[in-house]
Amino acid sequence: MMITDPDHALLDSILGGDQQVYAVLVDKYQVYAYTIALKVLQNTAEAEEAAQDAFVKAYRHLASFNRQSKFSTWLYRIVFNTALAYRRKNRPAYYAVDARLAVPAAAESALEKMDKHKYVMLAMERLNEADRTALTLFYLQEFSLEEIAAIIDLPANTIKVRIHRARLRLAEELRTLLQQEALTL
Amino acid sequence: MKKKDIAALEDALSRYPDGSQEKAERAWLEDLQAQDAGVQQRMEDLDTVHQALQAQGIARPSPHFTQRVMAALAPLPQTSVPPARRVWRSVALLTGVLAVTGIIMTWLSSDMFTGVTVQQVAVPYADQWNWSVAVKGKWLLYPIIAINMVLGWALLDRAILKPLFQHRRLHQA
Repeated sequence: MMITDPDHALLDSILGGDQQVYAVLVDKYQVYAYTIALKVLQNTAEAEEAAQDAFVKAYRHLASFNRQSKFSTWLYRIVFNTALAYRRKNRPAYYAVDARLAVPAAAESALEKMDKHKYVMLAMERLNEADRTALTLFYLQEFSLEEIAAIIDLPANTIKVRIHRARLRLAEELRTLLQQEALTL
Repeated sequence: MKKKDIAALEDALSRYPDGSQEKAERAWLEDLQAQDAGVQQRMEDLDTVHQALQAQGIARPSPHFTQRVMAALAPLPQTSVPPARRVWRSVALLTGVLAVTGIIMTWLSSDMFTGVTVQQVAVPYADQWNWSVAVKGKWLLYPIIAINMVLGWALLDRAILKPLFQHRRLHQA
């Protein structure tokens, strides 16, 4: 079933030979594409490279996009898969987590609440890529469960269950981390 | 706590941060929270997780992201034959296929093959065999007509209808 998506008109222009129109789509979707890549890779430089690579791949395969979903959903799926491929290729490099990710700017406050947020982000690194990405997209409130399911390539019900379980697991990890922290004081 | 209750508690806790619970379940959880310090602790931790996830926000790539992507793009491959010439070539091919089908059907309808059987074709050493197969000539032509029809339909779809609809979509956009 074809769906209505304002981006489809832009795709027609690009396929008609107007390459520069693609810059409009890159501008529009780069933030979420980068966020998805970052959640999978947890390294800013690699995430940027993977997101750029995904945009190039999407461009090369524009003609084969069947328009049965939104362009953004199709693109984010390419981003997710490209980031996963990067992660598999360079797995050993990712044990050194990017410092900017481990302690996000919002969690650097000295307030106890912010410290707890920092621990939640640390605990998130222990989740698998799909759960981490699903949780992030779910909390950005820009994506429906169906869209998240299409990006990650899992059924919507499975995504819902995985989000619920991942949250419970984060709560447990948070408790463990806080107890470890208390023991070291 | 019974095993059944533990499972129910896990279910209720998994839904708790979204507030998507039913009234009865929420009341039960609130009761448990008041009685059990462990449940209260878990609910507080879930609140913290929920708030932290809400606060995480989006990440932004470097300012030159778009320029880098655009610089990495190669022009989309263009077909070597111009679209109009491609369509005319396909029309000629399709006309040929339909002409062949038409000629065969005309032969069949004019009873040209009545009485012609494959048995009449001279086959070396055929007289030494104890068996023979008589196939009416026009039966052999039916599969040829069918193959032509399929070929004609595929040609019509791939070479004419598809480019036509793509062209119309491009121009409507």
